Amino acid sequence: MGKVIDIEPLTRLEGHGKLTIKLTDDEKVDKVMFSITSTRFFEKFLEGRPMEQAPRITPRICGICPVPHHLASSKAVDDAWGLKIPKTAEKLRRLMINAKQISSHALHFFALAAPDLIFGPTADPAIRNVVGIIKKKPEWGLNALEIMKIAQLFIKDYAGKAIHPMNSLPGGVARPLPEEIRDRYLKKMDRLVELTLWTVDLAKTVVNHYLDVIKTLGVTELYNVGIANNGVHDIYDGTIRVMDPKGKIVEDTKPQEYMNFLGEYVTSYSLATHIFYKPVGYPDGIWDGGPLPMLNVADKMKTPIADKALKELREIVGHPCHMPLVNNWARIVELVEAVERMKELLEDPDICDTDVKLSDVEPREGMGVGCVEAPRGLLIHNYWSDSKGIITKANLIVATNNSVGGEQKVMETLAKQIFEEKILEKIKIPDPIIPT
Amino acid sequence: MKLKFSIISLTSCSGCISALISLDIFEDFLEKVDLVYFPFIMDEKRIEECDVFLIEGCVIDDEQIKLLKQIRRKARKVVAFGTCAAFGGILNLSEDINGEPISNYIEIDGIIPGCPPPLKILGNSLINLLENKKIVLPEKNLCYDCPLKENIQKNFEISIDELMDEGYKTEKVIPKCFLEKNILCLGPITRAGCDCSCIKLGIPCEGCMGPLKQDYTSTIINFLSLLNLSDDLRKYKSIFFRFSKPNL
Repeated sequence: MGKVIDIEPLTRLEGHGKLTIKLTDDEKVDKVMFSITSTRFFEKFLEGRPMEQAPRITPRICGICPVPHHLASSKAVDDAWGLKIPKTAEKLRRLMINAKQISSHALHFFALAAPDLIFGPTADPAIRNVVGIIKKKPEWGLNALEIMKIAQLFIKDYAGKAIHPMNSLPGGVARPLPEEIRDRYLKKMDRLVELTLWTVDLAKTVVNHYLDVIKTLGVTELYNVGIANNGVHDIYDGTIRVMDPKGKIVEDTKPQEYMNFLGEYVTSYSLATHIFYKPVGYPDGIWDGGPLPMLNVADKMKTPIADKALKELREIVGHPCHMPLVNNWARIVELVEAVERMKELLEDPDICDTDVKLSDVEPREGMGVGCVEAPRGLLIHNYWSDSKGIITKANLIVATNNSVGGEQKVMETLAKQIFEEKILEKIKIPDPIIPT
Repeated sequence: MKLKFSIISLTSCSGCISALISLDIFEDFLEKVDLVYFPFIMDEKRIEECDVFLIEGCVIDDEQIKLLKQIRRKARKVVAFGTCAAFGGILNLSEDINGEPISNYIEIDGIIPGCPPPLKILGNSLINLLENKKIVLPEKNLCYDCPLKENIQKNFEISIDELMDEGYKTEKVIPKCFLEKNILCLGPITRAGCDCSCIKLGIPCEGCMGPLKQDYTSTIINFLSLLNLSDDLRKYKSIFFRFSKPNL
């Protein structure tokens, strides 16, 4: 019997996870199991409920990314009932999802990822966390919290609540944007851009510092999935793009047709299914979603500063990039775009228009797909309703599903690198950016 | 001596801890406490002795019950953080599984309700805990704070045939009590404190703050006796249990 390494709970993770690595007697990797250990039952209990309630029930799937669920759900109902929402309603939904992207990406970068990079992976775990950052480098910690708060408070002020908002409805949004709120947040945009550019510099410093480590650890060629709007990076709407491991776009298809190319695989060890590219099959077609795959499948970013940041990223790590640690940098490129988009949308002359919802929404029989990009990957809501608009079936493919198969593959690579190739003895881990 | 705080998530969406991190007094909170266990942002995996344990999420399996009992032994005060931990939460919609409040298994020293707790309630509750006091919550129902209460007629028979305001179909929301408009609103059986944020958007209360009393059964029976539910609504599953279920 070889050694078994169990890591539970996995920390600094949204949700509940466990990692098991089984080694053979001669220290070869026998099995790696990355398990999601929590299940939530939403697909089942949506059945029998009026479909217009789904946008206010499903955000509770994830309190870190409630807005993407809120909007994917609204879009699914719109699609099922054939609703074309007013232009300003779409802009307001985009404003909400970009604000959420800002707070979620800032939270993820600073609270979940950065502590390892700033203090170094071998630092004392008691300090290697966001509380440590706030204590050792208060201005960095406070900047991070300020980014999160501006975005969170915008959602609260406009959409009722920062977490689990209820403003989006079938056919549009409940409330137009009051001019007073628009003006208040427009004033904060320059500060937000400034904080974001500072974050980009910090991310670049971190990446350059660890470049050898980043280029080596866990590198795994996988299929990638994301959304693009005519090839341009877009988190609210577009086609689902699938890229093969060599970088060729093999799918660029309307979300409504996802069943034709998306396969779902149930593993023996995880409560979350692995998603794969159906034409290739499982496990070869396992795909990865999230910030880096989003950048990989896009031709360009939508806004100028973000597009410049994408070009810089590609110059250093190439395209396609399969280095999982580059996700942290990709997240910051997406953060920049979200901030630029939020500013553009607030400056839009029609943003306070009051025509924000349809007046003739009637529940009916239908099937609809709503697809957005959540901060940690592609998100699909698919509902069927009967003639009274009651949900008869729901299929939810959440960001975790779209990235956990890829993460499993990366863990397998890492386990082999660490236990078989003894890579940690060979690569030089640079000195910490901030000594502890 | 700083108070030692621990924070854990059971079956949940992490929205309550996300609300905590976005709180305006989060930095001050970190200054004033010694955070010893919080796997969402820290790597410490052992549960040690502490003064206050905040628990987010509901209970769905035996492992969690074991964990709760371990927490109870280690913590001086245990607080149900959010509506899932306090009342079971959104999983009450499920007929396949019971999402139970933590108080079904261990004694607790307070609740911070809400899905997630409104920032004001959360901030004040943390201050109460830091000062070693009992958590003080609003003891009135939502109707007391409701901006629509002014126009209410005192004696009326309530027929309910809609779950959503026509406002989601029409241009303007009529500023009138939802119940009077035959729309189900859980305000009368829900704790105040959320600033009526749904109602202000034209959406009736769905009860995310949870009931005022742990004994939800009698409250719900009283409420139901006031209403004539339409046949259609009677067929919908668990419309009153959006966030909390009575113990029947």
